[in-house]
Amino acid sequence: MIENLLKDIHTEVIVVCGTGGVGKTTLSATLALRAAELGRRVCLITIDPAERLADAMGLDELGNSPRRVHLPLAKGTLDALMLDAKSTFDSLIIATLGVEDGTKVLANNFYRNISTSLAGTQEYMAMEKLAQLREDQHNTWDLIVVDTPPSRSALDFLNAPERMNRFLGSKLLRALISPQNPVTRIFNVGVNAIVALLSKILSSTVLSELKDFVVLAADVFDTFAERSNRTYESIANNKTAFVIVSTPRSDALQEAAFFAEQIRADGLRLSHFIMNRISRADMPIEVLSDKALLAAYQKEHAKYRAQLENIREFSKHHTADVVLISESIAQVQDVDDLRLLAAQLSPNWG
Amino acid sequence: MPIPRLIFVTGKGGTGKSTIATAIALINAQSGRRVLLLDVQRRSSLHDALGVEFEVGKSVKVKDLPLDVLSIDSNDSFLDYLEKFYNLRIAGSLLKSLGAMEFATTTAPGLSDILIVGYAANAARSNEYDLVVVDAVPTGRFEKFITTADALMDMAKSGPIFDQALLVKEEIEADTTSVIGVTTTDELAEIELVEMIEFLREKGITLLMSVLNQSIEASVSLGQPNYPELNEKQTRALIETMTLLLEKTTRSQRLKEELTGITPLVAIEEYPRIDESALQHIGKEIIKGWKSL
Repeated sequence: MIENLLKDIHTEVIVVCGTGGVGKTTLSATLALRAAELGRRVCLITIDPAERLADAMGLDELGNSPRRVHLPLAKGTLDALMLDAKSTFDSLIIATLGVEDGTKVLANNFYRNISTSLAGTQEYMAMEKLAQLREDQHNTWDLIVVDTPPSRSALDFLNAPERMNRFLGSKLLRALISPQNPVTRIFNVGVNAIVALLSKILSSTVLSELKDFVVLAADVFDTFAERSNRTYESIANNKTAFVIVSTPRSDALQEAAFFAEQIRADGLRLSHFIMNRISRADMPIEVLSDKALLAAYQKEHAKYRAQLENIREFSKHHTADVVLISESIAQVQDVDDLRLLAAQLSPNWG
Repeated sequence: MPIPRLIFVTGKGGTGKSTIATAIALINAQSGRRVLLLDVQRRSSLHDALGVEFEVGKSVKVKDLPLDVLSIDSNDSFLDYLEKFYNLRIAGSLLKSLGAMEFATTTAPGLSDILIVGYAANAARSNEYDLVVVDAVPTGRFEKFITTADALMDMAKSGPIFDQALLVKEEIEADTTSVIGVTTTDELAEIELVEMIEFLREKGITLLMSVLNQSIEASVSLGQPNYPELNEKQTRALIETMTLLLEKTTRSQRLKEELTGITPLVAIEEYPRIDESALQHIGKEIIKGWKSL
């Protein structure tokens, strides 16, 4: 049962993944709320929630730092924040470099592009935010629920630091920063040829902007790399549980399978699949005087059975507990709506 | 309207744009056109539905059809680009071994997008295919993706990147290139679609049509509040199901009204299992809607 996971004091981080459009953000909030009701002190990191969700949690807006969600009946507490990748990045730059150099970096064209539009920045900053919260965790929270950015891969989030390190550690980048470094001198003949080629392709203005950026921000990169490695290590253990959200459509389940394989391959703990938006036509009906109504219902019931069949097939290949959440049309409006969803986490027949 | 040779399919995440893109590619290939289905997000699901093996960077042919499926990676298109424009396959391999590929595609803003869009544009221009269907990025990222050439031309005022970007821009704005937007009855998906349509109009990019996916049209009413034939659980299931169904029907209708005058619209009903036969049905519906425009 997923409630046992939420209650378990050894669960310190829950990472919720899934492709876009499956209801990941709402379900992350639902899990966080339920955990708070069960007595945990929870912090929820959301990525780009619908305005409605912020409203639902009684917050004017979700800021980049945690705010308390008012839950008078809960035994525990819930704080929520919305990741602002750019301002997280900016404050890191300033914190590492100081105001003077930091401001230069913030003004660099290259940095501006990277911090707003580079694919992976959001993932990277989500990791960074998690790192910051982990540092405070034992004082303030005993559970952090992370709603990951919508991406094709569960590991985009986890691998962001590794990708960044690979990029930062590249010989080419090092050579660009310090072309006179004796260790790389022999190597430099080749590097110079490549730099010439790159400048031909990228144009020399682009390359010089890049160079400025790299020189200014080299220290930041080293700090990032170190921090993110630590964060990764701190979540790559049994204290962190991964939950995959999917819908019962076959295409969504294939994406979920892809996620599950990656999580397993990385030796991480996959704890639950949440199957969202299951049809409510869960009872067979054979006889009804209103024939049109019967036909419409039976069509929906057939869909329900196809959905369960999809899930059954999926479960043959991917073992983790499955939680079913019924479809509801209304968007979440307030905490009570979240509570209704949360009630489905603990089926009363269990 | 000229027959498109390059189609970008986009929509909010979860609206089923991959399904729509795959259905369009399949139905066109079945009618004899030589089609390339380009998957920019490296998703394996559409490969499974077509019964082909998934491998990033390797184009696979669908059995008995003039249909190739390619999951593209910016590194692949970078290599391809170096080879085509500089005859530099070896330098490309060298760059790869040094980590320079990641370096270039990670740092140069838009470079990765331009390589992918550029690949699609080149494939559409070539004589190898009659139609290129791109299962593109979600609407949230689509504006940047489709206008990546503008941004790049702005940064590199001359040189090979500029020339390549110009070529891509021309192909994107050609009337043989068009976009298909996908939505469901989900409110946010609809808002994103409408915003994207406005954006395309501003940029002079052709919108072929929009697809309302997972549309529901039930013409029943709940009628009497109690059903003597049913037990309590059945009654609950019936009422909950029908309430949902009717609400979805209302939404589908409202959405159709709201989109009338903004975009040609084809409604596709929901398929819980996306297999080849579902893809064929969807493809036929789209072609039918397309012809009636």
